[in-house]
Amino acid sequence: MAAMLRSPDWHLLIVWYFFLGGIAGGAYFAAAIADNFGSARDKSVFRVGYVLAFLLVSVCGILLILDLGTPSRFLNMLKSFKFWDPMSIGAWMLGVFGMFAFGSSALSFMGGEGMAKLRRRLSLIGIISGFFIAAYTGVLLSATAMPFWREARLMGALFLASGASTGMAAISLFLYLFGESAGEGYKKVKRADRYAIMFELVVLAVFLALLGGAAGPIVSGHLAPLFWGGLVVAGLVIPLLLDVSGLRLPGAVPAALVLVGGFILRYVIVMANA
Amino acid sequence: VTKAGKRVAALKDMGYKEAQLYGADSNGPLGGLNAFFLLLDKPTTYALPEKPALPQRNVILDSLLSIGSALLVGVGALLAFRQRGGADGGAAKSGATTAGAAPEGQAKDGGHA
Repeated sequence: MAAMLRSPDWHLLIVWYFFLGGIAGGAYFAAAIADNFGSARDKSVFRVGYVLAFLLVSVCGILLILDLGTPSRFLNMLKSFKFWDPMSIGAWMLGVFGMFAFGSSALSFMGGEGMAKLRRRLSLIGIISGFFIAAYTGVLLSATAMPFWREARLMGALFLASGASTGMAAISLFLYLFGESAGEGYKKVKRADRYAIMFELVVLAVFLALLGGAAGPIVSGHLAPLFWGGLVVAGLVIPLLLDVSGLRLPGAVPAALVLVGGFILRYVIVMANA
Repeated sequence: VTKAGKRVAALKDMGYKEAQLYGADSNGPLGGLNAFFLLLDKPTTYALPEKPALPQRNVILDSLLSIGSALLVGVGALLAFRQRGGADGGAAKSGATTAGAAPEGQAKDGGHA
């Protein structure tokens, strides 16, 4: 209910929270898959993914507290746990996910086969909370009474797909910056990101088709140039084409574009009602 | 409500074809709105929704859709990371295959919880 009462003055903090939460969930998910199903040579991938997820989820916690104004309000929200309210459960799940991300990060720096086994098991369970953090914000918006959000189905799915693509882009960006772009893990993250971007495009198309005329605020209003140019073209189609064409560009370019696109997606959807 | 119903019938006789009681139907979309209004025209004329619905009800469908897309994204990443991983040797391959069934089952469990 709180969402219904205070949504109009949601601001940039929320956009950042949605964006970084998506990256955190996506990076953790990619790391867990690399850890469990990749080869030993993908170590750099999952280590970067786990640590990135942990750092970002910490930032998200701070953003969430700042957004509520006073820390006591945050405590209040935690105290009144409501399983049907995505906002309440989201705050709790952020904490749960933070613990998983912390555990996985710490274990990724410890040696030994036993530790590795524990870390893999942990990440398979943690993946669920990562997905949750990436997706619940979309579901939260659709559970408000605001005209555009309440008609938009698939917002959770869209945020999840975007979280996956931006999370993987963030991992590949850091691998690139750390000089690991020659490794096999880097190529795999790139390939996984390609699939995630394709999937995101499909979800976005279905999302718009389902909305029909109700999509007006983002496809034809003042947000339209940002939506079509920033998200669809620059944030999804161009990185995909760059990737498929095999053009010899620094890998940081498509990754950065995907990240910017992910931010624009949250911005456009949040501002559609602001 | 009965009194209001009579009034609606009278209004319809007077030519207000769209006259109705808004929010009175306890079998309606929200089980009644706890208050009702006598409208002389379609609800949209008064900027009221035709079928009022609680937006909180979107949560279940949207969550299911999110879980579905989580599975699809998971399959995509699995394909990307396994293609070369399987070539590392027999042991790694069989390990990957048996473990491959696990994440889907877990994700589903997460969905029901």
